[in-house]
Amino acid sequence: MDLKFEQIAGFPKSLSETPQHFCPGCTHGVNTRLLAEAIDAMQVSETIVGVCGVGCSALLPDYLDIDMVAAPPGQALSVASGLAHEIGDSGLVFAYVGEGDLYGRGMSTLMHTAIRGEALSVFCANNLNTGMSGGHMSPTSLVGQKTASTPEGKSAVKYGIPIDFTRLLTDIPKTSFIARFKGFTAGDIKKGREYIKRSLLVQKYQRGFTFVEILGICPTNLEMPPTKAVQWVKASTSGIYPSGILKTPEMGRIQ
Amino acid sequence: MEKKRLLKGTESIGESAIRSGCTAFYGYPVPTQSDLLEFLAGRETETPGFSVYQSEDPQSAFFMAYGAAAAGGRVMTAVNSIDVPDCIRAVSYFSAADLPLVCVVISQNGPGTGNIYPAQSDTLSLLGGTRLGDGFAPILTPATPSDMAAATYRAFQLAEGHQMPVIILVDAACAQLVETVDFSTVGYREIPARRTPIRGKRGNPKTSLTTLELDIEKMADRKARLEAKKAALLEETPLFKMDDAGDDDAPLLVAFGIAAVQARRAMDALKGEGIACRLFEPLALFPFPEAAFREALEKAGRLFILDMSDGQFDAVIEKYIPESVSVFNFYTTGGAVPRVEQIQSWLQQEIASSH
Repeated sequence: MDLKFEQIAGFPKSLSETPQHFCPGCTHGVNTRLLAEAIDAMQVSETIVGVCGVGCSALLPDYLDIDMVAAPPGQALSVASGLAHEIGDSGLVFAYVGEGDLYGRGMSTLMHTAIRGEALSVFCANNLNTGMSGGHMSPTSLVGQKTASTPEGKSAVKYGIPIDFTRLLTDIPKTSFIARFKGFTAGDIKKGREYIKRSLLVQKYQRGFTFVEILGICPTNLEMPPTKAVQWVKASTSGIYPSGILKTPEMGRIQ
Repeated sequence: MEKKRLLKGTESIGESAIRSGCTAFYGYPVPTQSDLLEFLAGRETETPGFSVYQSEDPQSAFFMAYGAAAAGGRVMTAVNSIDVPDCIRAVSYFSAADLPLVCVVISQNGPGTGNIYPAQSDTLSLLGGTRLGDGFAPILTPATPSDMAAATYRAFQLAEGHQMPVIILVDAACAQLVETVDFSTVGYREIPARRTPIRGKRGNPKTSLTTLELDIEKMADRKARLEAKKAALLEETPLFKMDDAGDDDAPLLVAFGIAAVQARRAMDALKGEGIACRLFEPLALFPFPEAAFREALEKAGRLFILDMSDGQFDAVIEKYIPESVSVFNFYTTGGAVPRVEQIQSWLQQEIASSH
């Protein structure tokens, strides 16, 4: 019998074999693999440059087999903009940044980079706390959420009510593709892989600023086992950080 | 390109940057340095391969420049005194990443918002601040538009030659000085780029540029590499100007920036009255032209220090001054430039009384 085999899964070429330091259950591991898969699928591993922010994201250069530049706190998108200016049409630039870095210190830079419509694909790992600093409150921490700097729970009186930063970007004329997914279940992750690929695709052929937020868990700082952390994040963020495509170049703002 | 142009200080820096092969200027408009942004924005269209970007804040300007430098760009930024802390942070990162940068710092009067009048009160914060985390940057101090053209070319040579950040420190008065700059005297040559740009692997093994280093030994290696760079920098030709009166015993003046310009004018005036002085003008605070200064001091029994701060320049040079030398100071603060007559009468008085 003549058997023909087609490889449908494997170790992504753009993922390095370096053992990862991420805590068990952490979504960064999923995100890193999805990025590698998207880079492979798009066949851009030779021309893409990645920028990582601070905290756990800063480990990415060790885990991806592509050119990468690490940025200082709050400045990932400035560094990415400078790279994009110099590289121009001859390559792609993406940034992978945590939400504490991007929506906190980097908020002004995020808004202005999006307003300028820099040719970048930005991926934001939103895990509701500043992970590597030790689990402090981040701009997306939920009201009542216990963090290292809000031991009694995040106070709405003191810190206000967190907003959907991803949605905020949909109002900016030069943003093109914007989406969010949860990095938890197989279904979510499959959808997310498509979003990341589409984000790179839009940048490759249409240029412009694309943005994908990945809602994840930080079991260590949430002090929960991964399965419980997933349940908790799903239940407590559904109304605040909904998944799906928020804006496309063809249809504009959707949600 | 025209050989000679009538330009003010900041414009001369901009023109020289283009002639030195600068590919991008990242700026943020703040008084006393925005002229440079304006001048370069005006040159952008007619200069192929050169771009100007205005950022949302000075810090972003530095780090857009960081990304562009990583991808192979030859970049320049500018700040005034208020944003020196951003400059210091950038120096730390560019040092750690071995990336070239030319940063222009225009000194105005502080503390706080202060005013836009000139001062020389950033001397110690830049000299000390650039050592953040044991980083460092050469600090060039040209005074006239012609010297600024030369210093800018030198700054790009140093930045590319050693792969390091370089600061051009100019006070707000010198930034506005106007003169005809003869660019043919600068001797521009193609400055070779000495690094592999990060633009995607393109058939090579991957490159990771990070200033994060968790390994203590590797971190120590990085510091040793910086130390070696600093040692190589100290081997470079010292930058200074010495106006000699032909008389080694003549009283020695030391000043930089607008203070040196005014000192020179006062010396010319005093010459008519038969009083000869010498002027030592450092064109860099780091590396300080130490040997030349010590040599000039050897025969000078008296040293006249002219500065526009509360004595910051004294603190820089005091270690080179032997105890046998009598030191006289003249400071102006608040944003006032020392007037020629003021310097003249101060010198006359002190020289007469110290004879």
